[in-house]
Amino acid sequence: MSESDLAIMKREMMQSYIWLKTADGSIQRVEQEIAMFFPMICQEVVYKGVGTSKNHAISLPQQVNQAVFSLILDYCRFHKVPGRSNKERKSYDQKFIRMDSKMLRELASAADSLQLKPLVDLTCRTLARTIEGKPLEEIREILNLPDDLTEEEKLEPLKNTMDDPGIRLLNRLNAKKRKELKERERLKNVEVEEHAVERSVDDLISFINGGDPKVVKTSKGKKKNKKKKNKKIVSSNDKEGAEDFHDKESHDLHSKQQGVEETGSGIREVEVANLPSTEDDIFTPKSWSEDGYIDDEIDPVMKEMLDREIEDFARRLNSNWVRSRGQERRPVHFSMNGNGTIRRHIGYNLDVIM
Amino acid sequence: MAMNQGDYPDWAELPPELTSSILHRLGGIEILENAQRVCTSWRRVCKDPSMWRKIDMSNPHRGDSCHHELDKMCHHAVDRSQGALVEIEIWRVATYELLSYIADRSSNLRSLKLALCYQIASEGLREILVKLPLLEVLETSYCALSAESVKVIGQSCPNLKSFGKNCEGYRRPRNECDDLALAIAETMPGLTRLQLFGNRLTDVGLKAILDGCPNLEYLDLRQCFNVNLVGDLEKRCSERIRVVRRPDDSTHDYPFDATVHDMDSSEDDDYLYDISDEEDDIAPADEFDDDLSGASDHSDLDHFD
Repeated sequence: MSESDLAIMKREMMQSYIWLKTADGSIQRVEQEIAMFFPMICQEVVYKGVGTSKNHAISLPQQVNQAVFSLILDYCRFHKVPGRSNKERKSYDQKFIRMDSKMLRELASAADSLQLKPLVDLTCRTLARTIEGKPLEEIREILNLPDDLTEEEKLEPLKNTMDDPGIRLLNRLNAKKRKELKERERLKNVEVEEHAVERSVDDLISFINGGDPKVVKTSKGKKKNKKKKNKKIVSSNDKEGAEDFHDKESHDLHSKQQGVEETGSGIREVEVANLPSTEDDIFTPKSWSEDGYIDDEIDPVMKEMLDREIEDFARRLNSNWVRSRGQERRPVHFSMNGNGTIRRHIGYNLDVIM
Repeated sequence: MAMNQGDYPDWAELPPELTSSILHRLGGIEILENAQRVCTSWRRVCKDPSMWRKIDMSNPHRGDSCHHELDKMCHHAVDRSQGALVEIEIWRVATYELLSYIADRSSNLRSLKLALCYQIASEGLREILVKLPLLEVLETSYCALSAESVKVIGQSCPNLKSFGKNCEGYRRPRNECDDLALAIAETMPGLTRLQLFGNRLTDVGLKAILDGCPNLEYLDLRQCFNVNLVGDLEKRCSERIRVVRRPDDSTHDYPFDATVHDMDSSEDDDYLYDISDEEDDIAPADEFDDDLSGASDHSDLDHFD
C-alpha cells in the first residue's frame, strides 16, 4: 500500500461513522468510537479499509442480527461514557439483562462472536443464574433442550465406571427393559409369580454350585449400575460373589416380590431384544450371562454360544409359558443357568434403578 | 447470507466454549449433579477437561449432600482435569487424603482455597502444600493453620503472591498474637495480596508485614481489632498499598459469617461458630457487589476507558 493510500485510509478513518451489516442484511451506521470497541471491526477497518461507506459495510458475524445488535449498541453506548460510577454501571447491567433466556442466549452468542468480553461475561453469568439450582426438567423447559441422555448417563457421575462401554450398553438395555416391564406388569398372573419364585431358588442353588462356566469366569466388582447408596460387593473369587449374591437375592425375594415378578416377563424381553443383531444387543447377552458383571474378555465364540442359547430358550419359553410349571421347565433353566440367574439379576437391577 | 427471523442458533449449536463458560459458573458440584444430566451436548461439555482446569467446590447453598458424596465428587472433578488442574476451591470437605490426591495429580496447581475445612490439621495442610511449589494463591478460611505451618509453606512456595487466612474476629476478649504476621513477613516477601480477616495481630505484626512484603497492593485487615491504623502506620499503608480494608470496614462482600465476637461476662459462653448460621449468611460473592479485591473493580470496564 502506497503512502498516499495510507493517507487516504487515515482520512477515511477520521470520519465518525462506520457502516456495518447485520446477519439479516440490515445496514447500519454506527459511531466510530463505538464500532471500534469490537476488535473484529477494528481489524476490518484498519487492515482492509472497509466499513467506511454504505457500499462497503462490514459484515457482522452470523450470530448478530439486527435486534441483538441494537441491544449490543445500547450496552456499548452506555458503558462508553467515562464518568459513570461502578454502581451506575452495575445497576444498568442488571436492568439490561432482563430478557428471556432465548434472547439472552442470542446475546451471549453475538457478544462472543464480536469478542465483547464484558458483555459475554454478563450474559453468561446471568444465564448461569437462571439455571442455578433448578431441577433438570425445568432447565430443559426453560432453555428448550432435549432430554436425550440414557438412563445410565443420567446416573453419572458418582460411579467411576461411566466410561466403560459395557456398562453403558448394559444400562441402556436396563432402561428399555424397565419400560417394557412396566407394561407387562399388568398382564402378570399369580401362576407366573409362583413359577418365578421357584425358578429363582433353583437358579440360586445352581449358581452357588458354580453351574455355568461362563459365569464363573467373571466375578468382577459389583453391579456397576446400581445406585450409589447400595453397598458395594467387592469379590475376588466366585464363591464370595455367589454368596453375596445369594444373600441379596434372598433378601430380594422376601422383600421384593415385585422384582421377582418382573423377572418372569423380563427374560422374554431379553430374548426378544437379543434376536436382532445390533451391536448393543449382541453385547448384552455377554453382560447378562455374567450377572451384570462386565467381562470384556469374553471371546466372540462364547458370545455366539450365548446368543444361540438365549434364542433357544426364548423359543422354549414362549411356547411353554401358558402351561403350568412342571418338570419340563427345570432342565430348561438348568441348562440355561447363566440366563436363569440373569433373569433374577435383571429383576433386581431394574428394581434398584426404579 | 441472510438469516430468517426463526433461525436463531440452538443451544446445542452454541460454541462449546460459551456453553462451558456458562456452566462453569455453576460450580463443580452442580455441574456434576445437574448440568451434566440435562442433555448430551451439555454432558459432552461437562466432561471436557477444559471445564475442570479451575474447580469450584464451594457451593455454599448445598446443604443436602453429605461429606462422603462431596468427597467423591471432588475426587471425580480432579480426575476430569486430567492433570491440568490449575485452581481449586473447596469448602468443608477437604481432608488430608483428598488434598494429597489433588497434590499428587496436579503439579501445576497455582491456586488453592479452602474454607471451613475442619477435618484437616495444620500439619497435614503443611505437608501437602510442600508438594505444591508452584502455588501462587493460598487462602484458608476457618481452617487450622498455625504460624509454624505458615512459615514452612512460605518457604516451600516462593511464588506465593496472594495469601489469606481468615477467622472469626474477636473484639473481646482482646487476645493479641503476632505469630502469624511475623511468619508471613519472614517467609512471603513476594506477596501482592494479603487477607487476614479477624486476625489478632497488633501494630507490631502489621509493621513487620509492611517491612517484609514490600510489594503489597491489597491488604485486608477487617476485624483485626488489635490494629490501630493511625499516624505513621496509617500513612505507610495508604501510601504504599493500593487498597486497604480497615478493621472496621464493611463486610458486605465477605463470603462468610462476619459476626463479630464480642464476649463479656454477661454473654453466653458458647457463642460458637455455628455452621448452620453461616449457611444462611453465605452468598456467593455477588458480582454486583464491590469486588473483594478492590483493585479489580474496573477490570471488566477497562474496555470503555
